[in-house]
Amino acid sequence: MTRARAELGSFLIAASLTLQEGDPNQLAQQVRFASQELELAKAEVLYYVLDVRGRTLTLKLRGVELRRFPLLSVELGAPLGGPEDPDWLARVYEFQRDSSTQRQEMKPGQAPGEHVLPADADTATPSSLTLRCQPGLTIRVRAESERTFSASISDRWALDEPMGGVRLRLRLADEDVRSLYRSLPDKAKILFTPVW
Amino acid sequence: MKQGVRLRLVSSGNGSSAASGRRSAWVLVVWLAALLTAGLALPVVTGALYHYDPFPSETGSRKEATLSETEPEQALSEALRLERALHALQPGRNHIVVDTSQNQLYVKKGDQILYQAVCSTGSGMLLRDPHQERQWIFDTPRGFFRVFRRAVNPIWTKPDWAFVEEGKPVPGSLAERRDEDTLGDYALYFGDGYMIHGTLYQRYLGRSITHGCIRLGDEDLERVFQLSPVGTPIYIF
Repeated sequence: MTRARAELGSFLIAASLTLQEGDPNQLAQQVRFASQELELAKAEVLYYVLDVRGRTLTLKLRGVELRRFPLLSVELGAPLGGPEDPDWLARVYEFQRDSSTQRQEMKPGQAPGEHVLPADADTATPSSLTLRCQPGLTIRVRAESERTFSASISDRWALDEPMGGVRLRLRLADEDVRSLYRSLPDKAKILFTPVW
Repeated sequence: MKQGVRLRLVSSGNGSSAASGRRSAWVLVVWLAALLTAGLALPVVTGALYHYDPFPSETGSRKEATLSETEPEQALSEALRLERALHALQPGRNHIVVDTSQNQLYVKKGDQILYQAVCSTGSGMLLRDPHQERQWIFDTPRGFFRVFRRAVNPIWTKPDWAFVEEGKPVPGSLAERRDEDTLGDYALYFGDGYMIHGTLYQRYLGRSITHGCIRLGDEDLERVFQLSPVGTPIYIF
C-alpha cells in the first residue's frame, strides 16, 4: 500500500505539473491512455505498453509489470502521404497470429523423459518477428545480432506487409527477442503511452 | 568483277551482322527499360514507398485530443480516478510471477523480489489418444490466477492423459489413479487441475517439459509454499 501511495503521489505531482504547464492536450492524452489501460487491466488480459520515448516495451497484466523489454531502436514507417489513420497512436491494437502453432507430437508409451525436446529446441527462435496487429499496424522485431544490410533492406521493402498501415521497426537484444517470441500470447493487446 | 562481287558479298555479310547487332542493342535497351520501369513501379505496387524515421519525431507534438480552457481540472480529476482504479487492481501482498519463456518463478511483493527459482513449465506438445478422438495440448495457462488450495504431501489423481502417455489402459477406479510420489512435498493449486508442485525429474528444471503444471525443485518448492498463502495472486506469462 505504501508503494501504491507513493506512486499515486508522484502521479499527482506529475499531473499537477502538467496542469500548471497548461497543456490540456497532454492531459487529454493522459486520460485517454489511463482509461485504455484500466480497461485492459480489468479484463485480465496480457497487454503490452509501448513507450517509444522511454524506449521500452512492457508486458503487463492487471496493471502489474511482468517483463520489461528495452528497445535498442524504434523506427516508424509511414506511407509517403502519412498514415491513413492520423490518430493511430491512440488506438488499442490486437496481435493477430498468422497461423496456428505447429505442435510436436508425443508418442504414447514412451518412458518418462523420452519425449523431452533437445535443449536447443527450447531456445530455437527466429531472428525477426513480424507482429500483425489490427487495426493497421505491423511491428517488425529484429534481434540485435541481425543488424545487417540485407536485414535493413528487407525491413524497408517489407513485401509481406500490408500497404497503408503504420510499420514499426523495433530492435531488441537477442535474448529479449527469444523471450518475446516464446511469451507472446494470441490476441495480445498493444497500446502506446502518450507521445508529446 | 569477280572481285567486285566478292566485295559486295563481304559487304553484304557485314551489313547483316550490323543489323543483328542493332537488334541486339534494341533488345537490350527494351530489357533495361522494362527493368527500370519495374524497379520504379514495384515500390508503388508493393507499398514500399514508405519513409522511415527514428521515432518519436522531435518535431512538433501530436494533437490527438483537445480540451477547452475550462476542462483541464475535470480531466485531471478523471486522470486521478483512473490511476487510483488501476492501483487498486495491483496486489499489496506477496504474489507469484511465472515467466514461461525463461522458466523462472518469482515471489514478489510490490517490485521487490522475495524469492526466485528455476522452474519447468508446459512443453507445448500434443498427445493424441490412439483409441478415441481426443487430444491434449500441454501448455501452461497464461493469465491471472490465485492459489485456492495448498497441500502437504499431495496425492495426484492421475488424469486420462497420464495413462495414454504411458501407453496403458485408462482405469475406471479412482484407486488406480492415485499417485503419492510424483508431486513432491507440497502443491499450490491454482485451478483446472494446474498446480505448482515438485518433481522427480529435477535434471529437467529450467526446461519446458511439463504437462502444464509448474514444477520446482524441492528446496524452492518449500520456500515458495511458505511464502504463498491461499489467495496469493499468480501472474503467468
